[in-house]
Amino acid sequence: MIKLIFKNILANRGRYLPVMVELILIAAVAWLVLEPVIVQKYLLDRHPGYEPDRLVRIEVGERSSAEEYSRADRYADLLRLLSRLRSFPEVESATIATSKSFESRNINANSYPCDSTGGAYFEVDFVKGQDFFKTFGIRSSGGPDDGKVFSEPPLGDHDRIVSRGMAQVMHPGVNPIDHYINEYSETYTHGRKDLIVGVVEDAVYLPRFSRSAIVYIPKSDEDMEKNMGGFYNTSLIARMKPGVSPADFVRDNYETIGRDLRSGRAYAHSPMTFSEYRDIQSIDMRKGNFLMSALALFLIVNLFLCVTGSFYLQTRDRSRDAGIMRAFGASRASIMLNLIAEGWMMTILAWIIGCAGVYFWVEKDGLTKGQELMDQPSQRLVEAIPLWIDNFGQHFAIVSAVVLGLMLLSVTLGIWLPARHISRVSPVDALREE
Amino acid sequence: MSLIELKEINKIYRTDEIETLALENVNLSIEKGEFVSVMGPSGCGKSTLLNIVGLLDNPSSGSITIDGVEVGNMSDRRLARFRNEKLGFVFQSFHLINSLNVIDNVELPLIYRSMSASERRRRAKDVLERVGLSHRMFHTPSQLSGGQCQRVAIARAIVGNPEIILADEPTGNLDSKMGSEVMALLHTLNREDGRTIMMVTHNEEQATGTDRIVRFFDGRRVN
Repeated sequence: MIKLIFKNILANRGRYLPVMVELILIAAVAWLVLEPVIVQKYLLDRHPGYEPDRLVRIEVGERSSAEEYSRADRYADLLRLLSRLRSFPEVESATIATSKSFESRNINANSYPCDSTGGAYFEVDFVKGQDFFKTFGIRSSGGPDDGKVFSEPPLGDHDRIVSRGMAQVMHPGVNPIDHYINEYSETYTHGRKDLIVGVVEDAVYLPRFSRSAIVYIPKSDEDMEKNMGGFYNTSLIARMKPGVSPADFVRDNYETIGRDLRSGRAYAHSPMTFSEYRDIQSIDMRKGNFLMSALALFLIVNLFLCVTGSFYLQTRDRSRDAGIMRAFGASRASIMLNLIAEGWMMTILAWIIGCAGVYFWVEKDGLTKGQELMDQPSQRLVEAIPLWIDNFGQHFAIVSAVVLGLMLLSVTLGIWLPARHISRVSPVDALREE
Repeated sequence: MSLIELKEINKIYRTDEIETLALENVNLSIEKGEFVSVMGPSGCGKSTLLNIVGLLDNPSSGSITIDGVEVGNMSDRRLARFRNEKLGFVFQSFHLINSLNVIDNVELPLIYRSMSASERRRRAKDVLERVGLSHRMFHTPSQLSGGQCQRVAIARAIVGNPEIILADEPTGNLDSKMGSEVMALLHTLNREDGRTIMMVTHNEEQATGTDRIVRFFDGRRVN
């Protein structure tokens, strides 16, 4: 059967040449268009290392007044709001998110000595004893509690929780607990004061960054009071109980939250699911992706129309051949499969040629990657948090496979109708003497 | 029991405006090993009859039994399989696939069976040897004469070892010499292999050489 298909393609190569050229062009162009889309989509949709699907984010505002609103009062009101939020029956736990937290567009980073260039990490603040890790669902990495939700130990001001990748970079091959963040660098001048007391699974600070080395910095109530100049960028995060939909919670409690979650001059407002919040924070990435996806769709539809037209034009000749095959035992289904297989063979051949051309292009130009905190990420960090987008072979293969899948789908749909038509022509009519 | 049994076969072609009765109340039995000619003027329904016996077309009413199997209500897939196993076709215009060479054309019926490529090739070579065209295996139809094309078509018709060969004016597009060669081949297949042959023809001389002539006129059997 494959030989029959191949010979048919060869025999009709003159007629198929425009289709092949289109297939090759689409393979190459679709690859270049889809590659950044696939990478961006992967960065946007990968698991963030915590559980946004169970979270609701509530902003905190302040009523204006002529009276002074002290930092201590402000923080006390914030804690009261948090306590009331925790009293909702649907809420499993709740915490405070400062401006230095996940999805914040204000990048809060610091550097550390590493290799010859140094490295950088994101800083995430959390309030001690306020269920930060429990609420976000961040899990322990390594040790006896590996995989369980991280249980916050008693913390000193200079104790640090680090992400797994960060730990591997700073203390490769050893248990980082009770080591310092900058311990291995004799030249580092900040002093050995930041003690690692816990390691958690890697998380995504912002989707546009390929990898996030994170240091979680505990804040005491005193620290929080000192910095409570306003509620800007401070929010409350609630974790729903199992089986409770965050969207339903927001819908059912929108007015209640606005009306009842008040304390002093502080009030809660604009509850939304955390997933929605993440989408808003990454709107630029999503918009860009949408445009590129639309272009890719245009190419695929174009291919569908080209193939459909090309096969419909051949109906007369193909009906004759189909009539002969039917006379000798081919069923309608096998004739359709024959025609579709012909399309697939041409598609695969064109895909190989198109991708080969793209390969030489991207080998020089490079592939799309996510952003890094530093222009040249530490090699240790890249190895600690390996991503397929950084592996040329994997990256190229995955994108090529996606392109092939879309092309095969488009060609199959494009051939389907004319193939069905051809297979249903009566053999008597197809073989009628002219 | 006859190998081919047609009872009360009617075939009506309908368009929006007219109705044409192509076959009317046709009864026909063909025994195993018979070589039957079907004759009649143009438009009398003989090709229609052949297409119905060959399961390429459906009668409007009546029943067809081939080798004891009533084929009236078979699914498309079962019919295709039945055609592949029981029937071989030879057409006036040969109807070879031009993009394939001779041996690939002959192998065509075997593609629709569960058979290895080597077995298909072996059988195709055997029948080509039989029809005297093994030296033209890798030629394309455009490189053959009319008689050679028809011999390839006959090889294709018998490669699957069908019991029944249906030939629709097999010598219609050939000169008398080539026509005689083709008829000799058909007679050989009938006498030596015991294959049942039903042939539509305009040629009285060729028809006389067969076991029986069935005549049609205006869609009705007249003898």
